[in-house]
Amino acid sequence: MAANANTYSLGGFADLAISAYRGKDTSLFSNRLSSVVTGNAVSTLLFGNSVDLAATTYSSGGAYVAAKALGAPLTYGRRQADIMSLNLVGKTGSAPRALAQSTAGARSMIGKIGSGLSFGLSFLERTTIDVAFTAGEAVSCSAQR
Amino acid sequence: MEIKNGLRRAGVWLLGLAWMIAAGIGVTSMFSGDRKSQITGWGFLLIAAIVFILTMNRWIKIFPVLLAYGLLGALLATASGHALNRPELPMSFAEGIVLMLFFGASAAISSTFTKRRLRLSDRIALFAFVALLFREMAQDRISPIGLAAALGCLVFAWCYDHFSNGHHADKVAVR
Repeated sequence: MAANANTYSLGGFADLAISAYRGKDTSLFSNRLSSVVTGNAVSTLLFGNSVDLAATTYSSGGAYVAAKALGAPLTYGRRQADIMSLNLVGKTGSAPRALAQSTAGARSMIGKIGSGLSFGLSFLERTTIDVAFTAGEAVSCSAQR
Repeated sequence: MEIKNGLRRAGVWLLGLAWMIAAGIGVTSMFSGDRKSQITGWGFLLIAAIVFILTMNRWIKIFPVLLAYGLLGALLATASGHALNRPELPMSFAEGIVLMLFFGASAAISSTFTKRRLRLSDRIALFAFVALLFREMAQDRISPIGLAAALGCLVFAWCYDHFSNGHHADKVAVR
């Protein structure tokens, strides 16, 4: 997870697109300065540099997470996902519990920071992008194991 | 209605990503030695600049949020001792402090822009701020002078609004 974190971030995605267009490796949005804005803070909060932690998390329940999380970040207009803020308001189901639990701490912390700064929805949306990238990374890592 | 709003918000973020990529292509092409690439780069930068100026009233609402996210990222980078998601790029404690101060101050000042109608001075300052920030990003460095110059643009716009005579008359909520 930690090794691939840069690829699964807003900046990493943008750099990938720029590199594909120019045919050269680019790190405009994932260097030391820009990565603090465009990097994946959720992934860093959850896993940091600990490859062992990530391996333990996703090797123990990898298949379950992969199966359930696949729909979670992409589900829209339903009441069963705990990750995306695009879902309808209402009672949530039990489908993406595994991934939701692993991101709950980070979401709570970031939510508090956002509320404290009175930024509300936009901050949550920016966080959601990182959560979605992290979920995608989790699925990818689980599939490779 | 809820679905429509959600789709609209998602669309706005995707357009923001597209702008980021266009501006990124422009900036990176500018710094390449190839003449043809530089001309293409200018083209991308021109398009990005036009979109940037025309949509300023909309993105200014989330601009402080992105900068505040930078503060969070700087905090994490300082704590981990390397760039966010890039363990191979070390970051010193002093550089982390510079980034935290820069993004914290920028977020605080730019949040005042969301509470009033943007003046011409604000627009020029925001354009200069982003241009200077992209310049620093392209050169992959954390220069206190460069970042202070960018921050100075925002400080100038805030001071101009705060101390000008028409300050109270322009206190119109844009939300």
